[in-house]
Amino acid sequence: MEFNNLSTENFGGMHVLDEKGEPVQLSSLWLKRTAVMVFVRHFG
Amino acid sequence: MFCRQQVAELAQNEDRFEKKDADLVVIGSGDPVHFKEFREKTGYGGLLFTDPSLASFGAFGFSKGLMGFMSITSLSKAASALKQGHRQGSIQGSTLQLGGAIVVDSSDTVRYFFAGRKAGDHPDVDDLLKALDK
Repeated sequence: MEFNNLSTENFGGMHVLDEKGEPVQLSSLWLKRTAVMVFVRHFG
Repeated sequence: MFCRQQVAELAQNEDRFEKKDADLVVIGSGDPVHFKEFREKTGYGGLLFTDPSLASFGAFGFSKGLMGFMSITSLSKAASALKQGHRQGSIQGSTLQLGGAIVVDSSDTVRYFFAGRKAGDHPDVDDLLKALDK
């Protein structure tokens, strides 16, 4: 995927789960300040 | 072993992200029930989420497949990770899924993007920090 093709409109609405299993919208992560999101393969 | 090594390195640099007024967020793909153990093993105390559906991984094009899982280079990196004491723990999440990173600021601008092409590919911590200077 090209960097230039990335738009928060395409992925901001997606959800991840917090430690209680509750969904959190990705865009909420950078609402107040910059978010450095690192996706790891698994919790190994 | 890769993930634990990677997150342990991030954990050691958590304060550098804080100094640049950014939130470091780690997103895995296992069950949230393993968060506690993961934190204990990596020393990571920051924001932690998971996406067992892998939908977000897919949206970012983080590749998935056997070709990406192991390669000569990643085997060499595995040896290096073991030397540093990062053994493969019980695996939680998709072993075939590769990772990556994305930095987004509060004006919805994507500042940095990295997609791993094989096991052991990590975004460089210094590159992540540099993205905060732009």
